[in-house]
Amino acid sequence: MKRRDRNAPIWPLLLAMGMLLGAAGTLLWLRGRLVAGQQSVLDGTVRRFEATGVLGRPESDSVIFGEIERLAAASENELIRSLRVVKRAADGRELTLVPFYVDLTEPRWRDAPGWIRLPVGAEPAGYLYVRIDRSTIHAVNAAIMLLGLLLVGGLGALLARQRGKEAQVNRLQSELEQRKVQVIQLERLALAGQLSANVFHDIKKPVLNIKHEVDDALDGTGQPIEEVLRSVRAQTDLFLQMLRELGMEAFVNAAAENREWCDLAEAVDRSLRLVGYERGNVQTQVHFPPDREFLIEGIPHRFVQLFSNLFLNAFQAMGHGGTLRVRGMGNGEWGMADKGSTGILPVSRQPTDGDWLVIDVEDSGPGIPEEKRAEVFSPFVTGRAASGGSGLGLYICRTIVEDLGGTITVDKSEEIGGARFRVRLPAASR
Amino acid sequence: MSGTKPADTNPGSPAPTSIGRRLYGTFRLILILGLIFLALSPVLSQPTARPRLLRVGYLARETSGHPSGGALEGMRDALWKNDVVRAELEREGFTGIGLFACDGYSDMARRLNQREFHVAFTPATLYARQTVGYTAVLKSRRKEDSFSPNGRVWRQGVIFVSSRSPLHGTKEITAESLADYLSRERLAVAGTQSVAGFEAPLLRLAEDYNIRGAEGGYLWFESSEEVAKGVLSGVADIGACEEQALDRLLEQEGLKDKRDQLIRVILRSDRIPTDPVVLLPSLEPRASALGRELRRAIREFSLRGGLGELQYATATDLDYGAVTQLLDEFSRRVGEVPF
Repeated sequence: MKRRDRNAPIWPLLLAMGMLLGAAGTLLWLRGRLVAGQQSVLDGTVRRFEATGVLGRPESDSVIFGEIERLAAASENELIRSLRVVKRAADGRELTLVPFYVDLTEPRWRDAPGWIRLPVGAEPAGYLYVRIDRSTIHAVNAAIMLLGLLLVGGLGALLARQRGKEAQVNRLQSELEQRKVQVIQLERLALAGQLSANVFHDIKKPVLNIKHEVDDALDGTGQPIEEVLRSVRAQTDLFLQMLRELGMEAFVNAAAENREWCDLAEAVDRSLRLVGYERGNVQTQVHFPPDREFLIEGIPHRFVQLFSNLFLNAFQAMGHGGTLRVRGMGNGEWGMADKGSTGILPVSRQPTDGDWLVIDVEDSGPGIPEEKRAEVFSPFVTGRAASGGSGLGLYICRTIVEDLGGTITVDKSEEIGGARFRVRLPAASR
Repeated sequence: MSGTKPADTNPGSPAPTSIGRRLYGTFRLILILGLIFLALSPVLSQPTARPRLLRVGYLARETSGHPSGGALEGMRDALWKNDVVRAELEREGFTGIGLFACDGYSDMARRLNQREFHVAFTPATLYARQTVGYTAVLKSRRKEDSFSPNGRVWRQGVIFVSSRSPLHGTKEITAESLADYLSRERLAVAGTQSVAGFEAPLLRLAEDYNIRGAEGGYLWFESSEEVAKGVLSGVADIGACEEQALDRLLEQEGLKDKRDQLIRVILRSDRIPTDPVVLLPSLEPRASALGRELRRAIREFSLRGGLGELQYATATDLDYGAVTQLLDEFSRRVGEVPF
């Protein structure tokens, strides 16, 4: 069976439904006219009986059957298929005059379905019982019902189509999300690679020292072997300490994508250590208010990735000198004192819904021209193409922040003159 | 202003005056009118013929025992087109046939007694009470009417109750129970001019049960059919009418088989002749060729179906002796019959 094309245009279906809706509206209007017309015929029949006064007054027993029968016969038409004339007697009994015998032959005829009772006169002298031809109105009702079913079917098709589209969008979104995660991971690796160059440079020194000392020992020109081994151990300890402090391994190997409560101050601290080799002579200032925690639910290494990118950008923008200032603002207050390099802030209160955590990352570099600020968060936009910049760093920052429901903006730092990146994250758990 | 005056062409002749011109014009007008009068004098001198119609009277109500309206107009046209009838009419000096409707029984009675109609389609009661010598020549006959081999046609009156009445299920109706019932219930009747529907059954009521009329009152209807409908519908529970009309109605509605379930006849009257067609004494068939032709033509027209189901059979005054006798008896035992 041929599978329907999900990308087929929707307008034929909408057009068909519009036409069905129009037809249903027309039929409803027609039905209204039909009912009004029928009512008019019934009213006219009653008026004719009232005008001729053939039923007399309730207290009068004067009856001329011939006149009533002629009037009743004349009142039957295409609509009124059957008509019975009932007179209200002085004692309250209802006597069927047309047909005159029916009360004797069918005493319970009034209980039969389909009779419409129409009073004749304000103080009824009698009643007309009519059976009307409902075939036309039944046909219109059936047509309306059919159109209604078709409309429901059309709506169902539309909804199914919409569901299909939604599923498709969800799948694409899911794929996009996976790609995004992959891009973030790749960018992390790229960042790690970029950072590794300087690390390797520093690592090269103890390795060369070890090599030279071992060579000298083998040539018999160096220190005694015992001293050499001690030196090698010291060099390797230093080497391991460097790697440990760097946290590169943990950063690169971080595979868990599970959310947990993260301290932004700690993430800032880890990020500063990670990109420390790029710092040069830049002075770093970190300010967080001491009376609250900057806790947010998220993936820890993403926060490190976020701040590492921002710090790296700042270091590279400032060359080898300048000031990097990191400030955290919670509950409307900026951190006032240097926080130092590490440490968990004392808990004064838990964040509440509606609070925002704001982290400003400012540098004293040349800043970003105003006309370029709008595009710095777009992918593949870089000012360091020559030095191997991928143009994905700030794009990844924006992705990480927006995934958490936050925003990231850039403007000019009024205090230290360079660029100021403002990360705004909702304090409530997400 | 200066100029010359025109000279008279004939200075010796007198000038014509305006009076002379007027007299001349008047004379000329009188001369022309006189010539026109002389030319038309043969036409004007003819004697004016006054139209003389054969006057046919009837009751202007469809519920009478005779035809009315359109059916009678058809009959009139047929009579006028009948060569024999027309020859006799012209021989008698009639220039046409006129139909004259009576508003009611009293109107017809008055006009019969004034000998206003040459032919009248009249109820039997009015014929029996007329005093100017009209003679019965035809009597109406419907298919449900009883008739004997010798041509007598009659109807019978009945007093009956519907199944709503307690009398319907009473095993034996006594004079007391009937009198008691009639003192409480109104009797539906078809009017006093229906011998079979009123006088005859009430006379039988007086004769058999010694009950003089309905003490509870009467409920008047226009015809025996209406009485039957009134009782069957429940407007009244007891009524008097012509039995033939009752049976015709039940047959029309397919209720003949349920007759005994629906109604119960309490009493049945003597046989009553049907309504007659009467002629003035001067048109009495034995003496008048026109009377004979009228009787024959009307009968033939009805037999050909010109009056629907209604037909006419030959009748004589003798047929209606019973009606006269019944009415006299009614007056004596029940009371005077009002119009």
